[in-house]
Amino acid sequence: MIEIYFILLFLAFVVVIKFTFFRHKIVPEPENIEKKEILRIPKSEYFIKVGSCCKIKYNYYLPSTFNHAQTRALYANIIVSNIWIEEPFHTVFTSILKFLEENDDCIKSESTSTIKIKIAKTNESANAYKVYSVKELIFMTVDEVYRQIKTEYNTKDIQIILLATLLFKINLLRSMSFVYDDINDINCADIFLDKFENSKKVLYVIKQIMQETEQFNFVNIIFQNSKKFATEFPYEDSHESQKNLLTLSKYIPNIKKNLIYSDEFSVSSNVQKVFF
Amino acid sequence: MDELIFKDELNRPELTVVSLNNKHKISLLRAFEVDLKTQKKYMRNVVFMIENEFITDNMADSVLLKEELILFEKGDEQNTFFQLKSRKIRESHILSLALKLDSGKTIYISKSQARAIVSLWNMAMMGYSFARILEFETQQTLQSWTQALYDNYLLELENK
Repeated sequence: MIEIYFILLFLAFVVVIKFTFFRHKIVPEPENIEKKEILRIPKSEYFIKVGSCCKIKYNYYLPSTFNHAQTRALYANIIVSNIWIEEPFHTVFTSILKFLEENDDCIKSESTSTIKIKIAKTNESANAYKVYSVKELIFMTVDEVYRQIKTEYNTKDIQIILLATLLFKINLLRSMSFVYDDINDINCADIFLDKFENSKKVLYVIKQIMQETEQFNFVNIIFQNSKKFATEFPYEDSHESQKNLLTLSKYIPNIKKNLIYSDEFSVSSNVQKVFF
Repeated sequence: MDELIFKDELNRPELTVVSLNNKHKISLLRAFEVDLKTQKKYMRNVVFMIENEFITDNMADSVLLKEELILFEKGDEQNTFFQLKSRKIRESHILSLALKLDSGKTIYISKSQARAIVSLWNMAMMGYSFARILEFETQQTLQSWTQALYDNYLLELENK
């Protein structure tokens, strides 16, 4: 009987020792949890990429900065895939994308008939027709231009041509008349290129595209071809639909804002004009 | 049975075009409401169109226009749409109803054309009840008209 008690005591002793001293071996401490979690993130992620030996951090803009899926796709296709994060090109490019997204406008479709609508009770009348979105046309041309020139030119020239294609049809936005007096002037694109060191080269390329020279006429052809695949929306040129153009953003200087309010929308126009 | 169906705002009208005159491009645009349960069509609005331009926009005005066409000679200066005019063509005086469009063009309608338009109007209205159009006529805005024209493919270039 005594032998059995000894054996039981010995077993209990072994169990107690195992749970007190060898505890760290059963549940080992985590060594590099951070590294493992970061490595799980796929390469297309916007925030961070990790190399084989050391961490390298790429600062992209968050995908939530863009409202539309089309802008997000263009940003991912051009900037994220090429890692073009050198300043000031990165911020200039994204600011133009953001401007086009906020101040979108429409132009008349080529395959539409206009119907004049009247309403007798309220004495309203408007022309109804189909339109293209200017933003969509420009984004489609940028996508196609990038696909064609990415093997022909070096990176700096590609960046300049892409900025020029974003800006060469900016005068189609009617809200640009609030920012710049003469829309048809090419220099109105200079507002977006304040921080860009090669702004003169971009303006030169825009001029070449508008004059339809042999080297850059393909941009005009792509813009015309993109109308075939663009979506068409119904539109009526009434007063209410033109109100939507006035999404005043930070690009408009304060002096201009006072002018716009005083001319069209304020009741007491004399008070507002004092500021100017 | 028409009276039992309640007014449904979400049900968008289905537009169809009846051409009344090919020379002047006069057409009748009827807006229908389709009840899928009973598989019946109900007329909700009738509009006269000349060359892609609305002349009327509700039932009362389009009936008035039709009555002016029926009266023809007997109508006078109190007419709202047409005006009686006598013209001289090849040394003979003829009477015709004139209507000025917003584009600046004037249209002259002869007596036989007016009779043809009225008879086609009667054919287009045949088989439909007027109970729904008189009680629940759609009061549309500029936006809802454009959406309806776009949904029924009337803004395509082929329909010009």
